[in-house]
Amino acid sequence: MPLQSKPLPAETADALYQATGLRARAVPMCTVHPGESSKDTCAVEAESEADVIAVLAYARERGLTVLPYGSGRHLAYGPPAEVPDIALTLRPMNRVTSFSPGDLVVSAEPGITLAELAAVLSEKGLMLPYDPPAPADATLGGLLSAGLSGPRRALYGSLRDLAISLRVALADGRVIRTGAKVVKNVAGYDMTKLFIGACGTLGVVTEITLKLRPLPMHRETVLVRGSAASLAELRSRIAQSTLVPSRLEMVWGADSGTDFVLAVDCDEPKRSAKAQTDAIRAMSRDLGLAMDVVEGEDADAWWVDLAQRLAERRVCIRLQGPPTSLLAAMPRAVEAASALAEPAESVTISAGGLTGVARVAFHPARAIFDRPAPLGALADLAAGASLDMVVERAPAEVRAKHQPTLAPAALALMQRLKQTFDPDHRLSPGRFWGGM
Amino acid sequence: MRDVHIDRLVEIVGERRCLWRPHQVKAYACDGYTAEEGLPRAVVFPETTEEVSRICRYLYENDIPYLPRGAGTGLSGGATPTGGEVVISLARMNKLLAVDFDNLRAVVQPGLVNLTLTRRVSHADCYYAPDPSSQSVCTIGGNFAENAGGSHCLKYGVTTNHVVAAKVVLPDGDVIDVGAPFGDAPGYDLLGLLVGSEGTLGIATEITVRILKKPQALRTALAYFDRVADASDTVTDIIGAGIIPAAIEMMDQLAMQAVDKSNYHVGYPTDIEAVLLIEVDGLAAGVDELMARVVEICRRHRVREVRVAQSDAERALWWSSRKMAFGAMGRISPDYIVQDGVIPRTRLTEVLQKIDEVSRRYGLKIANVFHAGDGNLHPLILYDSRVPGEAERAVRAGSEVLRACVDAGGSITGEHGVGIEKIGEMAYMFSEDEIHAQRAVKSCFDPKGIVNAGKLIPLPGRCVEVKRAREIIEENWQILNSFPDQAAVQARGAFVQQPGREASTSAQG
Ligand SMILES: Cc1cc2nc3c(=O)[nH]c(=O)nc-3n(C[C@H](O)[C@H](O)[C@H](O)COP(=O)(O)OP(=O)(O)OC[C@H]3O[C@@H](n4cnc5c(N)ncnc54)[C@H](O)[C@@H]3O)c2cc1C
Ligand SMILES: Cc1cc2nc3c(=O)[nH]c(=O)nc-3n(C[C@H](O)[C@H](O)[C@H](O)COP(=O)(O)OP(=O)(O)OC[C@H]3O[C@@H](n4cnc5c(N)ncnc54)[C@H](O)[C@@H]3O)c2cc1C
Repeated sequence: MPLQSKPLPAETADALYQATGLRARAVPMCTVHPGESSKDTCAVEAESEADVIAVLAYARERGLTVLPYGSGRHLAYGPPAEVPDIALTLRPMNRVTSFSPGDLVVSAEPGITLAELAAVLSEKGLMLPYDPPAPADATLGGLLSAGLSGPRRALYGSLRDLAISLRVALADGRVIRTGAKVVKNVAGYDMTKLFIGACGTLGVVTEITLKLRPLPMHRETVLVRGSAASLAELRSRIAQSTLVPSRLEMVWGADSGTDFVLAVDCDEPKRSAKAQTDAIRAMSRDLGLAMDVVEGEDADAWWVDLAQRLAERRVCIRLQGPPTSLLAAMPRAVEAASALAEPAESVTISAGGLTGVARVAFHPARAIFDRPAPLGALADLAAGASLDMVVERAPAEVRAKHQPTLAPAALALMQRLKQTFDPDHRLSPGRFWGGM
Repeated sequence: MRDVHIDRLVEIVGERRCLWRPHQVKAYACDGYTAEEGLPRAVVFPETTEEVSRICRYLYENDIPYLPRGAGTGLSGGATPTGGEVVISLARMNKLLAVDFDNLRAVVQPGLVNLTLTRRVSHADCYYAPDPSSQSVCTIGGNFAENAGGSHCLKYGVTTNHVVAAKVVLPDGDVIDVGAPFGDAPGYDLLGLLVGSEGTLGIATEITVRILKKPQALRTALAYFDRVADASDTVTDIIGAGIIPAAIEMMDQLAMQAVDKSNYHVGYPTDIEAVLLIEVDGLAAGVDELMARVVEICRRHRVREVRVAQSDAERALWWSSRKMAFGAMGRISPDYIVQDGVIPRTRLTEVLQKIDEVSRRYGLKIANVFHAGDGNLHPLILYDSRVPGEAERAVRAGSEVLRACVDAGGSITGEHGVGIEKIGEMAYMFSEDEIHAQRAVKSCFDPKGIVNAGKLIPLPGRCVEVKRAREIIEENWQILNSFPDQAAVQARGAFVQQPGREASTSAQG
């Protein structure tokens, strides 16, 4: 295709409409995601897989780049990217395409939000045990492509464990299915994994099939307050017990003072949940810690509130490593983050005592933007404690200075995969580490 | 023959750890799938990642095909050197490298036996969850490569849900770390691709897995049903009631007869159609209530009798009876083929009827033993290879059963892998585009296409060929009679490990 000058987004919008009949218009990229460039892109909505294929075909014909996205919330992730020629949202593709409650399997289009999906599932007493710290309008496709996980990973795993089959429109126009719509399957390569966390760089996901779980018959969360050290000890006792926490997070917010809260959630039936609460009460008493219990909707609300607080902050850093080291590092993380935040009270931290994944979220102080390493204090802390750090969300200028490095052999392999699935680098230009 | 390449391999691992004389390497001619065999060029036994890397680099640079091997219990021919490969045995890399009980992770070498891992962590009340019936022999590396399952994966998941990181030697000898012991690694999920890749994308030399605490309590029940349909509905209703049992296994009358003739005699009624083995686990305070609900659901579906195990010995007997089911087939039939199809659980009754039809049509008995909770069927097709034509019929019946599974929206394999055995059936399940995409992944890892080639992914054109061959066979199946040897080996009982015969077949068999 001619590489000369690209058409103006407004021209693309017109021509795309002529070619596909899809409504397209030129809009500044920053309306897709605040903080992005103010340059224009051609925004178009897909209502079906056929629409996606049509847009990809058009882009191929004209040599244009395409950014597939859901609600555009996660675009503050990865390296700061170029403005795509076409920004293709899949948000209108939000149908449940098949649902077999007896098989604990559901298939849905990528534009569906978790709340929309939950409404359908709960009618049959089921749930997707997945609670990422993301805004309410985040789409399943965006979350999957971002590879984002939440506290429930402690018991149920991440989307990697829950997604069993996908439909994916590839850059070359082919549509493939990965996996199978059954809970157990080892036929061929596990291609589903390739697209999870790939940020839309290998193909456009048009359908997602997930394993489900029954809605818990009873909900109960234990909240224990205390110093990080004493809660870390409590965590170890719980981890070493036969208790069955469905989430276990050590949480800090500005209202906690020097204390943290260890939140231990339980999805077991009532009698078991009560027994678990009693066991934790005994452990807490032994350590001289005070404990509260919230049940039912109050328990759910507590976790939703935590997720929302993490999701609202403009910066979200993921630290990961062995839970013992992770929890031990949290008091210093509070200090480091408070020094980078504006206001300091915006700092919210949640560290997974079983998952080994912590999120440090805050609104960044303007002063840090110009530093050579804006998040240096956290990066040093992570390095010192042998934790990995990933910038999950941050303004472009901050993100640019904190990209993870990949080992050369692994990077080369990933680049070959990208080259194979998207040789013209048409999809999600620049939205991946190592310039994929 | 000893040649310069063998000399080079010996330089890397020493004389004692490199076998090349035909009588020495014969034992590596196939795995648990004995239908095809081939003599390896050599078998090497590295002890470190460094050695594996040097071996791979040398072989790859010299265009010499090779493949990895664990314990050789695979049921689909993944470790069979059909192309005269050098076999890289991981058997000597069998150390438990590290356990972090506080954070519930273990780092193992690939040759460590599955059950050994559980034994080595059990003093701390921990275990490794994926429990294939072969767990006393098969290796974690083999489990990694096959994405092995087991009886408890309904609730606890399969291998891919328990492997969190690995050190992998790529086909050209480069060593990479994939995954992350906690959280997610940046970049594409190479670990996810490698698990279940049947040794075609790289060799895992260090594997980090999750270990779990043993459940506080469990209850096990045995439920007899007059009708299969009632048993199936019971399974669906238990799950529909919001209960995820640790395991739900089903056996039909024929399977019951076989196991009752084995060393694990339970005394199943001879006039029932199905038995369910149901296990629930969790906190002690709640398991009795859970089991009571399970029993009540069984009753609602006209169960003839339901018993809850009163002792560990009783529970162990029931489990042994189930886990030995494949082996017990030998008591009622000279030969059998085991299939591994998966279906949506809710279509169990319907697919079982189809299997019954296939059984009638081919005049062959089919015993059903399976992981009912996750719809993973193991139909055992019984035949007698001494009866002319029966082995061929068994192979075709097996293929038809898999097709019924795919037609019901399922898969051709739930845990045993594709290997060489089901490479033809890949075309039932995937379109040419889908297979092309998988082949493209293979090329990214192994551009020369010499690492465990001819396994898992059909070569270009082969799907079409297979489909065409199948059509020809269908129209005119007596044609198979002219290749009795091939069909007979195809259909031999998969669990009796045949002493390797000197033979070399081509990759496509
Ligand atoms: C650890 C972590 C923490 C986060 N915390 C927050 C937070 O606190 N607040 C917040 O606002 N956001 C947060 N994010 C981002 C958040 O996950 C996104 O909000 C979520 O992905 C939103 O969904 P979306 O529909 O807006 O995705 P989008 O932003 O639209 O898309 C996300 C990525 O997926 C790709 N993509 C989307 N749909 C498809 C598809 N169907 N096929 C292929 N590729 C597709 C896009 O190209 C993009 O690269 C976090 C992300 C991570 C990883
Ligand atoms: C009686 C019996 C019962 C069984 N029950 C079950 C069951 O319940 N569930 C189940 O899932 N399976 C079952 N199997 C199948 C088999 O045991 C599993 O597939 C097992 O995972 C194979 O392990 P292995 O060490 O024997 O591997 P092998 O058979 O030696 O190799 C299997 C594959 O893995 C590759 N490989 C081996 N090691 C590595 C490595 N380190 N890196 C990369 N690739 C490697 C090989 O090339 C080959 O393709 C059963 C088998 C038998 C004989």
